[in-house]
Amino acid sequence: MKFVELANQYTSRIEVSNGVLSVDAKSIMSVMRLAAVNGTTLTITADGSDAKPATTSLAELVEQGFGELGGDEKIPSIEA
Amino acid sequence: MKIKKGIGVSPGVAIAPAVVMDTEEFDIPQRHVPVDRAQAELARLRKAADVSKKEILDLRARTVERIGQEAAGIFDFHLGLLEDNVLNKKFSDTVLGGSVTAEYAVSTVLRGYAKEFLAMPQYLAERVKDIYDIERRLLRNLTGQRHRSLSHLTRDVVVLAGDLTPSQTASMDRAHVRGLAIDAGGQTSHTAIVAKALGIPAVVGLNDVTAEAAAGDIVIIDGTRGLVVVDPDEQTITNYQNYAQQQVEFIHSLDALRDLPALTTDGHEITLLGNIEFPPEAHTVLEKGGQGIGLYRTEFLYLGSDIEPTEEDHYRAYREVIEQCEGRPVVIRTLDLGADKYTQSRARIPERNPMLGCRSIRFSFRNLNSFKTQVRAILRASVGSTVSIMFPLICNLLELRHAKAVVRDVIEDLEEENIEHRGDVPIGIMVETPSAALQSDVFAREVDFFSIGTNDLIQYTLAVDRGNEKVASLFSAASPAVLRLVRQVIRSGLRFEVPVSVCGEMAADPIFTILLLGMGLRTFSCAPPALPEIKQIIRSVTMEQCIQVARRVMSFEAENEVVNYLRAETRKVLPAALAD
Repeated sequence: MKFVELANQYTSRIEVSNGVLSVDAKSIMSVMRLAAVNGTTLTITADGSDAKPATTSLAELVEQGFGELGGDEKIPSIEA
Repeated sequence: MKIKKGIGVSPGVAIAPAVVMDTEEFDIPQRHVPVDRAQAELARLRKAADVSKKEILDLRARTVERIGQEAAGIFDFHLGLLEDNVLNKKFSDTVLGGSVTAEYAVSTVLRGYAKEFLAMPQYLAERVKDIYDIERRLLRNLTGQRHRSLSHLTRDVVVLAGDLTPSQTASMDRAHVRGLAIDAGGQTSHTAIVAKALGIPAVVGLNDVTAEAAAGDIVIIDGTRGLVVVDPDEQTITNYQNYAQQQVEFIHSLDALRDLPALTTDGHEITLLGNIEFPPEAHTVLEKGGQGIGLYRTEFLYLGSDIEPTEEDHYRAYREVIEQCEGRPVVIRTLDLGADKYTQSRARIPERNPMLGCRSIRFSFRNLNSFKTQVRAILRASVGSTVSIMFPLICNLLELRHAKAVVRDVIEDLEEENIEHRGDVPIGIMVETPSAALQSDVFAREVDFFSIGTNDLIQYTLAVDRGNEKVASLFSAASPAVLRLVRQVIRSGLRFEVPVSVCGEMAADPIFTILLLGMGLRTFSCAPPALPEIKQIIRSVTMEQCIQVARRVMSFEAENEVVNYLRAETRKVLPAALAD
């Protein structure tokens, strides 16, 4: 999954949440558990030296559409 | 303690440790290891994961080469899963924290995820296939392709499986298997038939009982109520032991009937025969008071091994049954394979609609050598005995005439070769298609007997696949439409003096006994364990009573009216028969 692959390129600890569940963005199994489909709101948080670039590029990827999960997720907040 | 609800297909209670089979015939061997072995188990898991990753990389490379980059993408996904940190931590925590085997950890962790994903939207639910794929790969690399079969067991167990293939049930160590619990839905014919024939409780349609139980867990199988209890508490075990005891006593009380005749109180004699799949069961039929074999399902000769049975294999099996029956009637049904999952999965070109396809007699006509081999063996084996041949699934007159022509050809061959055989073997048909039932008056003039195969007759009449859990509830022998067809066949038999029997499950179901008697049926053939109860009912009614009941039932419009009324009438005669 592109999202997870991208997250794994950064050293910071990255978490993604669907409002109910918050998981490690670098784990495919965990991210799958979010069951993110069209309309889901995702919150991406990162903590570490490359936190800012991490959240920015991940947010961009989501905006452009995941490819597999069918795009259009809105990201209300990005914290570094 | 977990209680799972499914469909009970064979009554009774079994309490024993579980053997868990997954659909690939892998038996998850053991659950626990000594604490000091846990690290070693984790090392095994890591090693299996490494091997698996190499395999996947290999597959990926080959796919890119032969098909393309995009198709290979799925292997990236698999690799990603295997390298997932959270997943690997879960594996490690499970092995070290619970002191369990690598296999057990792999199965429980992955199935835990699978279960979660099954409840999710389409895309994710489909990824479950990938999870099972990874599980299989890891297990394969852990156990090194070791298939555990059910044929050698050292203690009494209950078997939990995703599904059981006929070859598995055919080679099962019947001395030690005390009950069956299956994930797959509906009344899958082989599991139900085998469980009933063995007289062991079975529950199907449990969906995920194999995920809920581990090898060695104590499991209670309640085939009467369709319940499975995994890891029961003390109280539950005690309750079930008491219940099981009562059932055993009831069955023993019925066994006392063995040598008593199946006579109604006003002196009508009824013939009770048994259905068998394997020669040794003939003995059980006689033990339970059967007067012969009303249906010998010969397909198990084919299913029990990978190679087709020879004429001698057939001959030996038939002689064994005939000899055990010591002159009593034996009805041998020719091959009835083709629609079952097992055959379809091995077919070069699986049919789209096997139930309506090239199965049974149609298959035999297309495999004339095989068919003739079977008929030859039957005719040779029947020397000096009362054997009859029965053809399955006959749906029109031409098929019957064709089948009889084949028999004549075989007789000619045997005469030319000077081989001893019986040339006057009675020939009958299974009435299991609506067409045969509706034309039973015409067929009656060209057969020596009928046997109503209610299982398939109901499926074809109501257009229901009883193995499909979405519609399985539509399947019922109490359907007024089905009852009309059954009555029609019985009447044709009476009118043209052709003996009629019912050999489907309807014959073994106590609530239908009175009705069938009232319709004019005088021969029942069922799985041996059911015989005593049916006999008890026969011995407790008058024919007049039965005729009244039948008249009443045929005026009902709906299945539930029929069932409620018959249950009430049967309870009056045999209160203990219908367990609640």
